[in-house]
Amino acid sequence: MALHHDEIVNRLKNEFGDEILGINVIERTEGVLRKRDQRSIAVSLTRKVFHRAVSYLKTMGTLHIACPMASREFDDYLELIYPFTLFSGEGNFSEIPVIVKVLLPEDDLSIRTVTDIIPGILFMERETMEMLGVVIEDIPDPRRLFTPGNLPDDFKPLRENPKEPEDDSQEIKY
Amino acid sequence: MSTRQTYPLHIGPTHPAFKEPVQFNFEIEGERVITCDIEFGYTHRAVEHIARERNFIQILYLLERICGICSVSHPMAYCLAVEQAAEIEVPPRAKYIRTIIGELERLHSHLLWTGVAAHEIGFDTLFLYTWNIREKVLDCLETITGNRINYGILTIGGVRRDITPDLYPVLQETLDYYYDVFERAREIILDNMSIQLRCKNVGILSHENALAYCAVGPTARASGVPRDVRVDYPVNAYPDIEWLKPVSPLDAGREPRGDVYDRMIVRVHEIHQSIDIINFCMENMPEGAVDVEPKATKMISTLKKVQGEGIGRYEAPRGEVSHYDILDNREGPLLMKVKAPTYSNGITWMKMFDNVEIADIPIVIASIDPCVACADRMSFVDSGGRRSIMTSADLHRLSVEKQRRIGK
Amino acid sequence: MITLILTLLMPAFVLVAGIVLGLLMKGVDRKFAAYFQSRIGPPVLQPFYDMGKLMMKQSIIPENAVTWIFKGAPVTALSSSVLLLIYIVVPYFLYLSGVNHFFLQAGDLIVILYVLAIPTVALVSGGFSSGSPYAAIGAQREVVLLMCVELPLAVTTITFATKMSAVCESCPSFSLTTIASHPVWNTMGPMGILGGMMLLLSFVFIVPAESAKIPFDQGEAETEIAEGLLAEYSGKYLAFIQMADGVKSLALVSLTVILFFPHGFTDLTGLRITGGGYDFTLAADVVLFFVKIFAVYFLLITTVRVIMARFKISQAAKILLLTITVVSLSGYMLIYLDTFISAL
Repeated sequence: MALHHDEIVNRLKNEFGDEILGINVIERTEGVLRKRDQRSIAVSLTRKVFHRAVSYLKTMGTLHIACPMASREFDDYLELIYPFTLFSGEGNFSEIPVIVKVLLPEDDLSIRTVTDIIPGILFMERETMEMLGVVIEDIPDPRRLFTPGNLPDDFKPLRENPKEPEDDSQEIKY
Repeated sequence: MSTRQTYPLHIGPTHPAFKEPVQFNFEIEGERVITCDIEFGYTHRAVEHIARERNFIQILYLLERICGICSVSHPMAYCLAVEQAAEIEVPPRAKYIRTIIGELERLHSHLLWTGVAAHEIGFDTLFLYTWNIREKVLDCLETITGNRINYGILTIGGVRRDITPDLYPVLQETLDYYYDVFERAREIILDNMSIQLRCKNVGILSHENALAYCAVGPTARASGVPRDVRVDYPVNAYPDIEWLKPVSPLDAGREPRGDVYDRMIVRVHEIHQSIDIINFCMENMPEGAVDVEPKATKMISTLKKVQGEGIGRYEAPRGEVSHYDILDNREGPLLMKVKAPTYSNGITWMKMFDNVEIADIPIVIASIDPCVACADRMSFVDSGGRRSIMTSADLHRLSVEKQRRIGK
Repeated sequence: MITLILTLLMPAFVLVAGIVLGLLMKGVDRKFAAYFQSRIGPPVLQPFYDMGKLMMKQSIIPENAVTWIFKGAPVTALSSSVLLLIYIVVPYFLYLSGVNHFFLQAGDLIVILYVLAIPTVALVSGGFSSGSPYAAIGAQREVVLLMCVELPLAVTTITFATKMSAVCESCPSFSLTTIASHPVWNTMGPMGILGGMMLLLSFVFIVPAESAKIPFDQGEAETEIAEGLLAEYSGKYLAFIQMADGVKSLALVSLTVILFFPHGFTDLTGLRITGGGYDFTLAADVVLFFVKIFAVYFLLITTVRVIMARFKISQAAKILLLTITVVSLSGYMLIYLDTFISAL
């Protein structure tokens, strides 16, 4: 049964306390004849509790991944955004997107896989690995998904300023 | 019976059963599939990368070209995401027009899929029949939007063109036509003996797997997961429709098993649902403006002031389309992340290929209505140990040179 | 002497006429199928244009193919198909024209059964030798299909032979001319007619299965294994295969016509057409035969392939080995009982 959005926020706060860096609920009204409220929860937390937080979310209801991981780059760290949704398939406006944001330091871009909790996230983690250069630890299938095999390993297409490969034999033009 | 002899079979990237390039590597024993692996990336056009260099309005037309069939779904999800981030309220009439166009698109997409599925199992008569009745909705879309595909009707904050009252008869005529042919089409598609022989108990995706692997759209609904963004997280006119509920194989009196036939039932019944939704929208169409800001430049400058993030979700004919956009005082989004339904459903292929025969491969692949779309205009050439990335300008130069060589 | 020349000339004539007519039938078949599918369809002569185009094209032979089998298979398929057609049609027309010749004893059903397998076997060896996995899968399927269709076909043959031996004790009972001169329907009671219907029904499946048309085109299944057997063939070899396909379909349809509807013009009307001192009955027979061939082709090949989806190979094997064999066996039983009862 779908939980109230405040309940989700409270439970997350109780469970993880200081590990939650920020949490807010975005509300929006949809519909013309029947006005209905839509809510989504954005929560940013530390990398340490990320895996535990996702499994905790799963205990609340059906956990679904809506979109591949988005990213935002700051000076010396990268914010990885996991757009999960809760209560998908329960009808009656009950689905709540829970957007989990994790900050990763630029010199240690790695995060633990959540394929053991949501097997369906595998392709998205593979894409994150090849496109952003984030190392997903313990991923069952570390191959590339979209980019061809002869793409230089240190070239990450979706970073804002992709690094030039250091190997001299590889010449890259844009 | 200890020695099992298997052999590899590669299907794709080009194969008569595929409309788009994707490669499947199977390990086959006799006629049975033992393992399956999928390779994507043959059409990766790096839409997300291109989008960074375009402004908010230009992106709309880029997104329409992600997929010709979902050419409303991607801009719709993008508009919803940007509107959520910028807190723009869409006028009621625009919401209804968006719903109508979206449902017309669903109608033609499902008819198209039925034809493709029939072709995959060698039933060309049904293929031509469904494509024949699909012409009507394409004509209708052409009359309303000006184009059969890639309508270019959506914009941030509304729609670009109104459905004027003199277009109502065209719509009504289309709806009447589909109400007329639906029963006969349903009978031809679902009650056909040879279709049932080929589709029942083939490519089964169990309820648990559908949940675990995040299947979306008709693929999930056929496995008994009532997942439909129109009901779970509705936008546009969908919240107004009280009777709207996810289609399930139970509607046809069949316990959901998650096989190809169930997916067929779901799609055929959704055709009827779409007609009903369009009918509802026409009866309850509100009056008023269709756009908050008709001038594109003004809209861009408004959006330039915005900092925020938005998630846009829309139920495309193939399943859920999600966009995640980050706005950060730029002329275009800082980041745009796109998810097409096939991205979610593609991983379920691995489960569906448990124990199917070679003959079932095309219909199982087709059963999720694949749309292998995303990618880059790059080519990687490996010559003499030096690897280099060719840009489109380089490719153009090379082809001009070759043309000159041939011409001599 | 004239008889001898006629006998020698006729096969040569059948060779040319068979290929032309086989291709023409393909064109008509495509036109009819297009009509069913609310399309315009290609011109009736399209198969001839295709032949012309294919003959001009380069024939590519795969590197890892066994060249001599790969090249020999299409020719073998075409020549054996023509042989089959000659063996089926010539005795029938000799019988109709009233020429008494050793060929009359020759149209033997058992031989036909064997010759019928040769084009398929040739194509299968061509497929296996072409070194493509698709062709290998197609060839495997074709072999399965060949083995499965043999049983109901054998049952039908035996039924006819049993019936013929009861009808005419002195005639060779496996001979096509015997069957042609004693049409099955004429000498049967209601039970026998029902049995004949069942045999005809089994032919509705046997003919598409033998000629590899939908729903039994697993060997070449375009969307599954990319034309399977024919995947590697191109140019004139493909043209030979297509001609062989046309001729084989024609031969199968002729066989069906001769087995089930052998009635000549005189048999039907009791008249002979004469004019200017010449007897035109044979001409009328030829026209009648063509009409019957087109009708049977339309019903057994075009209609079936338009209203069905392709079966899986396991389903096809099951249907042919169980359902169709049971149907033909019960046809045999009924006809046997009918003969037995009428003999009492």
